[in-house]
Amino acid sequence: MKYKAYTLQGLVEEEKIDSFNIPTYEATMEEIRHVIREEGSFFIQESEIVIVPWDEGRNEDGDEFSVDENIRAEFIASYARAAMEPLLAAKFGTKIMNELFIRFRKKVVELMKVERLEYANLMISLTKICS
Amino acid sequence: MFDLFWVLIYSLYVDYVQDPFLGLSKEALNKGNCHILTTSPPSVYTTFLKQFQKDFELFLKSRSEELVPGGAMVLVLLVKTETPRRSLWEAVSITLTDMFLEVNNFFFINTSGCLLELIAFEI
Repeated sequence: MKYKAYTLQGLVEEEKIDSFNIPTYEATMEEIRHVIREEGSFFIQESEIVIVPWDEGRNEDGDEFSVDENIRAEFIASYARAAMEPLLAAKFGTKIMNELFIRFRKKVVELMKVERLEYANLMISLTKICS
Repeated sequence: MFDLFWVLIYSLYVDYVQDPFLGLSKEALNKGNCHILTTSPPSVYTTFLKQFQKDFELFLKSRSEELVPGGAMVLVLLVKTETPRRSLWEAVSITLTDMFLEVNNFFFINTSGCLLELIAFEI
């Protein structure tokens, strides 16, 4: 029983993972256009997609390969934590937050070795239709 | 009433608090994950998309009430393009799932084995 109690205070519970969804969605340009058309108050003046690496803004000279992966991942983990910690802590508890973001940083380092980590940002200018 | 808005939107789920399951069934369509993964079934995509459509429409409607006719706004939001890209939140979700699996595997060994076996495993 003693060991059981120890493991059960474990890091993350299955039920919590199943009942939680991070509330973000990256839509396609077409999905966005569709909602704008259906809603009907706006028309699109101009739109442009800008691709930026996950660690954009960290390195001013812009040479993303010149710096250690751990430092780049640390930068990414710190802003991800700033954005998501309140939501994640409410669900999974504040106790695991340090551990989670240490592991997240390591995961980012792993991913960096095999793929390019970047965001596609859409900048879109909408004008209200005069009716 | 305003002439121009600049809005940075990275998260649009205004309805989230009322529906943390995002309408997913109790059997949890998105079982074992906290976000869309590249390996997620289409039903998970559809559920997230429906929520997005609902919330983005409400967002546009609300802003249009605040703007004068001819007024403009510029939105910046994360999108999916033809080039597949992993999202940051997918990476967070994978990390959480790994943490769960690690604890769970440990738990199985713990309940089925004796203390000696457990120590042997840890070494």
